Amino acid sequence: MNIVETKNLKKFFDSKKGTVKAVNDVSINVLKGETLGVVGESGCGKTTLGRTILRLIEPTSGSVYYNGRDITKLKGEKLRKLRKEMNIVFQDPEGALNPQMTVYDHLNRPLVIHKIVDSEEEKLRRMIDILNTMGLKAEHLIRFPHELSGGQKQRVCIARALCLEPDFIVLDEPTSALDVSVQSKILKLLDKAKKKFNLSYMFISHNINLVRAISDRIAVMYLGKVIEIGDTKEIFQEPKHPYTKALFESVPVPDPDKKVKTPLTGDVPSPVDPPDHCAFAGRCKEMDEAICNRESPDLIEKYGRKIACHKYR
Amino acid sequence: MDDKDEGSFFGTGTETLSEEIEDLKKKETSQAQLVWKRFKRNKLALVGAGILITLIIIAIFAPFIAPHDPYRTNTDRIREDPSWDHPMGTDQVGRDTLSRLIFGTRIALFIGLLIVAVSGSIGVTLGLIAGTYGGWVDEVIMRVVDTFLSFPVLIFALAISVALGTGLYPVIIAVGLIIWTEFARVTRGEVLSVKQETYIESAEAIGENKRNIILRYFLPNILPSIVVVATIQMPAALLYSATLNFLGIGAQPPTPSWGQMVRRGSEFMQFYPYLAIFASLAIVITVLGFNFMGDGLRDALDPVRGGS
Repeated sequence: MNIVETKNLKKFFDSKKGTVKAVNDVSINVLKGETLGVVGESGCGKTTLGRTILRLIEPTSGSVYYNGRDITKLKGEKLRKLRKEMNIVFQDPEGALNPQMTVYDHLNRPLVIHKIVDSEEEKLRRMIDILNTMGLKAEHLIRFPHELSGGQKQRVCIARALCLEPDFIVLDEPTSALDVSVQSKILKLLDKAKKKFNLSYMFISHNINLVRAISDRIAVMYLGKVIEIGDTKEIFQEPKHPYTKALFESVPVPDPDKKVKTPLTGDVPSPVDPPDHCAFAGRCKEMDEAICNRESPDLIEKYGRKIACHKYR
Repeated sequence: MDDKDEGSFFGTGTETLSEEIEDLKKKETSQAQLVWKRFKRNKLALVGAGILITLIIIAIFAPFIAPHDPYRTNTDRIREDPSWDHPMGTDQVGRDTLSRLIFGTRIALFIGLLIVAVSGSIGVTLGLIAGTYGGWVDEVIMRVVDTFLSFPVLIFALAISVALGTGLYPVIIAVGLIIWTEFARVTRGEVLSVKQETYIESAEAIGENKRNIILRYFLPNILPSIVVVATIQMPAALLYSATLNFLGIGAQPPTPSWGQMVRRGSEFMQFYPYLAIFASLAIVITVLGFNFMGDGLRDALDPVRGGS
């Protein structure tokens, strides 16, 4: 059962140099109760995909389904109602909180907007409970963002996303701005929240190990397209797409004797007017002259997962 | 899933809750208290506030403070040097300078506050609209601003004042028409930069509507900048109206106004400088008071800059 599904989703931006195809024909789904990891290099469109799904930015074309319902054309009040059910945690906790609002205000606004609670007592109870669950105390309610540490800010952001008891949350690199000890705490909290709420996550990250640890399924993106998607264990055991292979190999191993591999050479092509053929062809070790420089591969079912590569046709 | 008993997140560790809430209520300081706390730390700002409060008290109680009737002429005692009877001397028709300065406070503050309040609200509103909606709305509003900016200030104000006749209100309208543009420009610019912040996107993500985003996110975050503009424009308004007054537009004699007094005093500056000096001092002190207080207020309104 899909909680979120996109069909041929596209998001293009106009720039002076040309059209930036940030999300180019992406069709993916997030199952109820699962964590879908989205990985890829910087600028591959992961973040844009997450924001477009939440309708924080307007898709250029294609559609987004939430619980089977097309939400691509929702506007105004109807769209705002939907905000109760899906939310987002941003990468940068420093910027995600209004410097002029206390923690109380940040948790209060969603509850007021969606008329969740009736009495002030109940509201405070709820706020303090969620703060406690996030490892914060009631006294933090009267704090301003600049009085909190980075980790505490991110906890507040997560608390804000959770206080409406949503069903689906986009986690846009929620830990990349935090140091490692805080990272693991935040991940544990996210996991705890997921189990209690029966949440579904879309976990966007460039940290392969992190995604491996937290996701049920993984989608690998390259230049605005999903090139491989499937079960985490299977993909890690046997990556099929040449890019996925290279990406996984490039993860550093903490062993000084091991040579650092540089399986990827060259640069990601510019997302401004990307090539019509396979975008990875220029860097691909298994490139087939006959087809890879001519046609763009479709994302097709193969080996129990989906792959977009001419090698697996 | 939304049943409270099954899988509700919110049911742990609530024993001490009411105590905690009581504690919190005691500790909580209101926004106003916080601003005051930060403001207090800036000594110069306190001086500025002191000056302004004194001026306001003087304006309100002018009839009780002034030693003489500001309108009573005495041709036997014109341009007298400062003495115990006339601490700041007398003017060209023998009126007491101190009393006239005291009554002039009323007009100065009234004009300054009214101009800034009116042009500030217009400018900020239009700036918010331009910044929030962008596109052709922005284009139209900013072109109007450019048009007003391209007028030479004093000549424009003179023309307006002459067209609308003499008195206080033409001056208020003329100066107001000049300084609203600064409010609009700064507000728009600030909105454009705040708009890029992630917390605006967060606000959309929790379902805030446009009106609340403007009122709860844009406005509080650009308020410090608006305060700065107001405190720059307030003395500017005072100076403009004093200048217009000096040129003979605005409050007409015998109404005591600082600009008029500087004008009269400058006519016989060489042999009797007291009138011009004391009237100018009054203007300078007022302008400084606004500047000092504005600086402190800006820092106090910004929780990041002002510290806690």
